[in-house]
Amino acid sequence: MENLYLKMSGITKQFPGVKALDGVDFDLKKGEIHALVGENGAGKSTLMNMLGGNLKPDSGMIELEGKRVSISGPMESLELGIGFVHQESNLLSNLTVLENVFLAREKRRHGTLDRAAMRKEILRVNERLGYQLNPDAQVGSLHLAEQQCVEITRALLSEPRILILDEPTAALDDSEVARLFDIVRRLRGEGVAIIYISHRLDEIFQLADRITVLKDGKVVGTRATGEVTKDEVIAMMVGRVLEDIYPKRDDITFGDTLLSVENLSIPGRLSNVSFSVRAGEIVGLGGLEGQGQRDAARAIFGDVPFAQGRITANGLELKSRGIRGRIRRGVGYVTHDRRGEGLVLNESVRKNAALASLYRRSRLGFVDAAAERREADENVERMQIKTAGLEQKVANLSGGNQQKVMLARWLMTKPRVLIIDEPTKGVDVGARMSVYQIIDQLTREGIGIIMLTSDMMELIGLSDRVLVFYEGRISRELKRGEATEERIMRAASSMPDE
Amino acid sequence: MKTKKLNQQVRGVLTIYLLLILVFIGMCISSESFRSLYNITNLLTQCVPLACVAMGQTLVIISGGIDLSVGSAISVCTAVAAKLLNTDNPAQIAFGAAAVVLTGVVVGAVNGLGINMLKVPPLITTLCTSTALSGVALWILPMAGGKINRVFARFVYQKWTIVSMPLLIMLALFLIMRTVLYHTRTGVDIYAIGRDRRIASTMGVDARRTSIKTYLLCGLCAGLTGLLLACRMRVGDPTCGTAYSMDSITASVVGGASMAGGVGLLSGTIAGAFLIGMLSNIMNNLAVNQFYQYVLKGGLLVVAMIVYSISNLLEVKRHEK
Repeated sequence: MENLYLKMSGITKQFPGVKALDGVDFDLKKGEIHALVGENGAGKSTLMNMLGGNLKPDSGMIELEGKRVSISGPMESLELGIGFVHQESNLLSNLTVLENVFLAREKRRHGTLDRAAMRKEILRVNERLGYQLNPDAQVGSLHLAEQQCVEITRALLSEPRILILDEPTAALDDSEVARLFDIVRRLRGEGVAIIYISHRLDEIFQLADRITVLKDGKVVGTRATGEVTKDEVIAMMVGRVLEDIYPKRDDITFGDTLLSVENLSIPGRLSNVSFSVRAGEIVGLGGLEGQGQRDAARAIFGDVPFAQGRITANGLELKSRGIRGRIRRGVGYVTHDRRGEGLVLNESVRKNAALASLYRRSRLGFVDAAAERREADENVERMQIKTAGLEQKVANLSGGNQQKVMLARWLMTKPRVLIIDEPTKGVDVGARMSVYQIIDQLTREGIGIIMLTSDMMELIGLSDRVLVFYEGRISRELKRGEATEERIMRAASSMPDE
Repeated sequence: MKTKKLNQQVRGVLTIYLLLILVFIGMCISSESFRSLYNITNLLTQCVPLACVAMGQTLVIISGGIDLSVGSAISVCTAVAAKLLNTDNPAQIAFGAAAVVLTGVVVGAVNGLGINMLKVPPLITTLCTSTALSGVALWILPMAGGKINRVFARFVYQKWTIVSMPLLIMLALFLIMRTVLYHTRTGVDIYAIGRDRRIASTMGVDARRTSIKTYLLCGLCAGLTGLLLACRMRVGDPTCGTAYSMDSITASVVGGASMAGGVGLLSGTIAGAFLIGMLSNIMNNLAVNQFYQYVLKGGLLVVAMIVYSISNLLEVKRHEK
């Protein structure tokens, strides 16, 4: 086994509330393309971030060419010969290609930058990989595909032995993908070992030599590409038991259509999305991350302008923009980023809960404090928020209780339709059940729910209808009972059913 | 081979120079007192202190910061100059001049360390040092006074028809700053952290060190400006620098630097400084009341910001198409 470049064994990483990686073994041979696949949250990124020096394993061992290493930062990772091309562009748009490629590693002569030498170096890599980058072009003026070439060039500069490509084709069109594949194959030919993360199984089967499937932080298996079929890989990715923490919803009857979306389009992000939500219904928007679910939700909430389409709530058409108007029409949005754009952490439970519905209780700009206290109190009770009192700072609450404060806030706006983005992110299992019960209860009172979640079980367990997004479109609609992990997974990677 | 965006920036700078020349020619035609050689030489010299301090400010702005303390730092420097340069001993004068510039560097160090080590936002840090320094200036020199050695002051401000020593000093400073900004690692790092400090760090840039360097260089520029002003007035003045904080920011922004960081050119800043200087000169010539001048300077900053944000918007739209 002397051609084994990298060996990771027994890698374990614990995040608050979840075991992201649990005893993962992974290895990489010289000159191979090794694909890493798995659902959202399976642990792919966590594992790769350890190679990239962004995270440290709690336990386990990383060996490079038989030598044990510990990678403490991105620069050290680079020095060890690991190049990392991130999913989202990690470049500085105001600098030129040359400056980005050589940032912090510039060639110098007599203390000043030796641009000529750096230019030559870039042209040399250009030639080697068959692309044409102008070293003096501003990165901000380049297309995404070209920016990716810049990242690859930067990664190649230190002559890496390992190159990690994280969802490299997510933003590329077909011809760009073909060119990228060409580059990747050339690198393999030069003996570079490549880790290729993608959710597009077609690409993986075209490109990879071996495939490792991760699920729930564990390795399900590693197979040579020739020895498995796509169906088998999908079967490896799915297959969990539905936990019994979801409310029974078979008895629910749906009412009138509360909100309908017709042909919603945002250039480059959403195309022709249409669906509707009825009273009492939970519509789950699923799919892999970044396929347009969140854009759709934000457009409905008036946070992201849309180019084409119609959104109607209670028979009235909603304009392209404007959150205030949405709130008054009874549309609410519980954000996935509770700390960043949800709660005012230094403020009290009461103030946080009251925030979205202040307009309802104010006259001439003055807030009716008594009504605020009363309503907040009612909702805190109803949500069963465990807090020392209304004046407790939300920063001191647990994740689950914080999420309930968010829900209380939106209930105080008396919504007809509530969009809930990642209802149980950062919420522990116990509180999770009570969040589910609250959501169930709300639908029974006639509220329509649009739920976004990257947790497959939650999507299946809670939704009355699942809409699977793929590249800005709804690729499949599945009713409760039809929605299985495997079907969703197939729709999410745009494969037909078996 | 330059690119679109850079072209846009260079084009912006050329526009300002064009504006500068147009205003200049217009004034030369319309005003006899303006076009006198004496006034033109005077004008070129007058603009130098602002141009010097604005170059330092530009560096800080490109790195994503702001330095509101340069004005007070300049005041302190003139006060120090008035104390140390009141002598006929050449060695003492040399030492004194160095000490004046060094004072500016020390202020820069305080700012840079406060911002990067204690993590106090630039706006707050430099506002605090500014307030504290205006106290220090008054403590050193309760009112305008002291004395700068005449020979030295005359030497620093000597003029040969249109060229003057301050102009040469500014040119030298420009060449040094230019080298730093465009031809060293530090320069690239300054632009990098100005655009996105986090990404720059993950790419291996030492953001803290780079940021501290910008404040040090800015302090250096302020110190030099203080020395120049002291030589011009031949006395120290504990409040003479006040306007320079705002004016240096205006000069940078008029010259194309973005308050959001990551964008700016030194040549633009110099053009901005000369534009401001020239407008002041014109208004002094026309005997316009001082308070209108303040209004105009404030207005200039706002107008420059609006013009740049509109042209950026257009650029983005064009790009989307």
